[in-house]
Amino acid sequence: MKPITLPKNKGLKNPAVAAVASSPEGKEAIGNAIKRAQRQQDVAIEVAGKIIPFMFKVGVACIAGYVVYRIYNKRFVKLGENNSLNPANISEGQAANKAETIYQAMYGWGADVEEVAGQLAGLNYNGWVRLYNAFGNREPFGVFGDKMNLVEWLNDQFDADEMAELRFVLPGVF
Amino acid sequence: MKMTPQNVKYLKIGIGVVAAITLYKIIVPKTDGSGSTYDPTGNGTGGTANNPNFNAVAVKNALLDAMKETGTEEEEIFAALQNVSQAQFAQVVAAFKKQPYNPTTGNQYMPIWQSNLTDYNLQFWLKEELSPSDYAKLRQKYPQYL
Repeated sequence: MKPITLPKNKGLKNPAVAAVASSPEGKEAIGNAIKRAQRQQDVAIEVAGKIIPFMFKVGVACIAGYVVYRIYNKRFVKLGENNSLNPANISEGQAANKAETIYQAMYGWGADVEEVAGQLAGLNYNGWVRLYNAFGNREPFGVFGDKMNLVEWLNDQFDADEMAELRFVLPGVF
Repeated sequence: MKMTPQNVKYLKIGIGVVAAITLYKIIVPKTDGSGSTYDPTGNGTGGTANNPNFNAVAVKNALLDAMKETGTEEEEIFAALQNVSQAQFAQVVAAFKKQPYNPTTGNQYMPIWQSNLTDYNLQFWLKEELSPSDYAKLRQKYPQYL
């Protein structure tokens, strides 16, 4: 026997709903609902119009703040010379030349520890300070990574044995 | 919010102060205020901060122990000289004086056909005992004495 199926009258197809909707009260209620929805939409648009620019400004301020923080945090901080010790035993020009030679010895694939040791050998403390300041922060090899100071470069390029060799030549400063 | 002339004035003063501080930081060189009178590199005034109780005889004995038998303890040599400055190395050289050495065998054993060994200074010992590259490292540190 075939099962009995009832007609699926939903929404305005439902005769009862259609009757209510077509009555004056129903029309008024529907009209009010539409107005209320319209008002809510207007309010939402108004609020969004205020919030989105505010959020945008906050976002821009946060990004700018982060950029300033990064620049400040990664800035190069010079070492100070110690006036109680002997004056630097290299000139500013020699320090700049040594810094460039050391950079070239470390930049790229591999690093020449002998060349670096040769440049460090014989420096006194204030000479080291002058070299460190002349080196500043320099670009790393490759696309990624932050600029590094001389000590960061040395630690980045050389293993423990090579660092021991460099520290043997110039102890006590890195 | 619109800025009043007074706000603008204060802003200008603030910017001026920041600019002045920045200029001062850039122009005036920084100095080390630690008050340290030791040069840790060993290449300046004073000894080495890491080795204030330097003893030339102790270093000389350590070097001799590392070299006098057959074979060389390179690591012991470098460890003994790690915190020895150039000026202190001169004291070690003086303390070492000249020690009997057999350059052929690299130790202090005396051949039966000889009655005594020739004495050599520290520089000779180091050059004989170390590889050229290791000796070069020492020479970088003590260019006045090696």
